[in-house]
Amino acid sequence: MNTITDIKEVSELRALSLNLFNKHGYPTRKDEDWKQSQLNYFLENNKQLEIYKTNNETINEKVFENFKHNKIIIVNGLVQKTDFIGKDKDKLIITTIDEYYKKNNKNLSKLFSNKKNPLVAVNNALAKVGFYLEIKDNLDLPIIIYHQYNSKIDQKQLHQKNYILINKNSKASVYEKFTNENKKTFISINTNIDVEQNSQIKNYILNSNNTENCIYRFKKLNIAASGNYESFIFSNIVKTIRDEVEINLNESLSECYLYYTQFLKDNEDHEIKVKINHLAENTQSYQFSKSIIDDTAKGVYQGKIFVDQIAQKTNGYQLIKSVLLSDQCTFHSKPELEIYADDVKCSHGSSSTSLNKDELFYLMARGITKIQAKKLIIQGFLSEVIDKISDEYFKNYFLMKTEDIVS
Amino acid sequence: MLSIEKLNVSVGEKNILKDFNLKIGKGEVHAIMGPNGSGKSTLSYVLAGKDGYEVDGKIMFKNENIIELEADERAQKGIFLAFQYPIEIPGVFMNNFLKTSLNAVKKAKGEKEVDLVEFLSLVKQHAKKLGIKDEQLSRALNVGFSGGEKKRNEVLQMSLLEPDLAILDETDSGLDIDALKVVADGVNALRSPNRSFLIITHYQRLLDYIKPDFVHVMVNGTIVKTGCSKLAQELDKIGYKEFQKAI
Repeated sequence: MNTITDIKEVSELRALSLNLFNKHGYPTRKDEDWKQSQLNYFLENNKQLEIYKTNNETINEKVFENFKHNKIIIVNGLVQKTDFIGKDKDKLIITTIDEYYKKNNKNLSKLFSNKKNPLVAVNNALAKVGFYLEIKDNLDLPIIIYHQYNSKIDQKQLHQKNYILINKNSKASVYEKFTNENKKTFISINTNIDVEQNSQIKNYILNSNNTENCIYRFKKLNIAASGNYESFIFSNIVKTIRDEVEINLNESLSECYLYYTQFLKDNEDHEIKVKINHLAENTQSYQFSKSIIDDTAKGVYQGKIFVDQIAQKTNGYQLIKSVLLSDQCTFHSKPELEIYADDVKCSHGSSSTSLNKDELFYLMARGITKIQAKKLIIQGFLSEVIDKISDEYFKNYFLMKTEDIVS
Repeated sequence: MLSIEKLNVSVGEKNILKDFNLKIGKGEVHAIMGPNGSGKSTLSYVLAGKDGYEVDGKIMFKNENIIELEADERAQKGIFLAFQYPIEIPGVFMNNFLKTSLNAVKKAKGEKEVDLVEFLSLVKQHAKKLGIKDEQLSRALNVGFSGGEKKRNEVLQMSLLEPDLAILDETDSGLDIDALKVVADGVNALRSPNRSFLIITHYQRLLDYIKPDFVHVMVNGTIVKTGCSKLAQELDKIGYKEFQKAI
């Protein structure tokens, strides 16, 4: 599969991004947005990782979920196989990002935004693989994107750029499942998502079993009138992963719902960064995150709500809660509001506490052992977020996952 | 059933229970009445095994000193505390909690644990008697429950776990007359020659419905008077001032 594009606009955008990256270099603790990031240390110590050139890759079919769904299998950043069921076949387009560039060789700059962010710049400059996914109607079944990174990219770096377009009046649920067999690999994934008028995307991510590699996932969304974005990221047994999203609520009645749970122990860490820009009247955003942190693990949540002066009747909500189970673990929460309109309803709250002793006593006074009582409380604490997921199937799927990890 | 001997309880420098003694026989119903701050709730927490107190003395339950046991072990042995303020635990669903609790107690007693079908049938049967709707059983534990619903939920747990000793800590507080009657009926239904009760209350009102065998007046961390159920009626008229003065 050809991955080299010679489209002039793309080449120029890449060169520009590379210049910007070279000027700044990798982020450091001096950069406010990266102050608490563990990615800094990894990148500082692994500057010379070779860039992986994707070629023919083999698929690991063992990780496929056994319920009915549309499959997209991406190995080391490239689409290797798709399997769409029934009428959904006609409602989807999937190609490599290169093919998209070739067919749409104008307005490509929107896919190369956020150049000031050093890791987005490096992705813009170096990403040669990725996919383009277009949803043209309401899908009957969810899509699972299997992102597989096999041992060929061990101790290398890989940059992937994706573009997802949800056409007018279309709906899709996209579950992204990552498997990574490597050590000391740096992967950056930059996904642009356009949610057109009256359309909806539900995006769920399972972040698990990755403690050896550095992963930076950046999503940029543009949501049109009455468009809706819902996301949930479940993080457990992860290290040096940063999930960042910037959402533009561009038109009236556009809305986004972001849910996160973290269950981190040992020396694990996970970072979440959110920026929501309310850029039109009557837009709504909702952030709800809960974290359980143990041992020497570290959780980070930076969440900003920006309300433009024309964005009257904005409704912005942010609630970040963490429970710290040990004296050595840390959770950094940085809620921010920047509001220029006067008729808005915005709230934010953040709390970090230890396990509630009264809750523990109540359960134990009913004969439940301390260990089992702790499990119930932790499971209940995280489940409160998962319960918000609107897709019933995935809600139950993640509730079961939570039960598994807690036990 | 229960014999408390020279129980001293303190938090930091503050002594709450002082040389406290009490004996409760099998099948007996005892009421402890007293003013605010007399140590009644502390007594209930200490009996149930709550952490955070410095405790000295003996708590003999079914001929075993349980003073060193954790709260779960005491519950498994048959002690039940109906809380004055049942805590809300978001995300922990009633059915899951009740089944886990019931099976933990059954397991400790060496009885066969119940499966989901058996459990649901059992819990519905008990809930119906207390006027608890099925919908309440699928909600998070005590979350959004009214005061009355919380107290009924405590009695539901008590009827499921079938304890040997039930301690009711101001179960009447926050209840209207109808709810009080439902809760009292639930408690009375559990009275048996093998089950003892310790009812902690400020007012005689609850004791109109649940007739105690003995009434104790507790002031300043100790029992100052013991009598029959008539004592509760007297207290309702004269209050606790006389007892406080004596101390």
